[in-house]
Amino acid sequence: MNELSDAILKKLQSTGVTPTPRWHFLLKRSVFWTLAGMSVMIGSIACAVGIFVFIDNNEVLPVAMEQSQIADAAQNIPFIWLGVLILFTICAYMGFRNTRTGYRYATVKVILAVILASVMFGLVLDEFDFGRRTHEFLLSHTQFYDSMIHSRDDEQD
Amino acid sequence: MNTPIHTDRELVAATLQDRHAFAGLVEKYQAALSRYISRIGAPDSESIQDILQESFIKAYVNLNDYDPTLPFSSWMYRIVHNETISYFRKQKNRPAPVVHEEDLTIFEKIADDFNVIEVIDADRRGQAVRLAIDSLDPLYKAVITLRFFEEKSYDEISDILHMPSGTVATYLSRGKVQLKEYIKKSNILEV
Repeated sequence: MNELSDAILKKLQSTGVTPTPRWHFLLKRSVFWTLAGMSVMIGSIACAVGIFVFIDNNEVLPVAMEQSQIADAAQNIPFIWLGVLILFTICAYMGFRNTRTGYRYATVKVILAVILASVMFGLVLDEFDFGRRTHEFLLSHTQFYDSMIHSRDDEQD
Repeated sequence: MNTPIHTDRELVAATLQDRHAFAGLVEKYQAALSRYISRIGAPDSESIQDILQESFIKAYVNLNDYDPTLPFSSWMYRIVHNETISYFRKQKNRPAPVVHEEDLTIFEKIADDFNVIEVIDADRRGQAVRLAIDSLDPLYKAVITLRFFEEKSYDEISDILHMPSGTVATYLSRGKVQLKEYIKKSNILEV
């Protein structure tokens, strides 16, 4: 045993420190995985509702005046859901980046993978009418969402 | 008869049973890590010993967080790297790297690899590269030190600095550009 290892062992003994239990690290890592997973799920829901508002919902609405398709499409972009998707993509990235080997993957690749996963799951959810149901639920249960949607409708009128 | 413990993984497992086994890990990595600390800027042996001791204690406390699928040395280098950076922050000192004898040949090698100095004589090329490395941004300096002086692979540097291998390559290339610019600007070229 050399001087340094001797000093370290003596310090470990005198301070009484012990290795932090494994469950502590498992818990910490699972928090980040949960954050990443939940963020992708919320992003998928945002996509499902966004798809419904942008595509499906337009089919049932009467076509407004003779305005250009581009302007019409721009007006119908569900910015609130786009914002939710961006926010939770960042959360998913942060969660994944802090997992054990998350640092090995390039930021652009992780962000693209998260967006792709959210869009794919969002399309699946939309197939099951989840987008419409969430949209209608939020309309009838939240003042904020209701006021946002109606202010957009007013703009369109 | 007891089988001697050789691998890092076995030493880690043994340390978790009995802390005295930790001496094996300390002795195995002490010399390499001391050199690394001095290369990235610890000015004297007292600071090196302090940083080393704190790093090993931190490693012991976090031993259950070590991933046996990764090299133990990368994990240990990461702890030492972070501990050195925070040591300088606490001391509010600028890193002052120490040059080891074997580093002189590495400076020469870098000068050749980067093809940075053609004008000046061989004796001064090493010195020019050393000054240029000292002037680099800390992250570029860390990448260049790990690559050329510690002879770490891109994957190992990625594990030590917690960045993708592609970013390691980018930083290495940007570090090279900074090195060239520094040498161009410095008086060393006016020979």
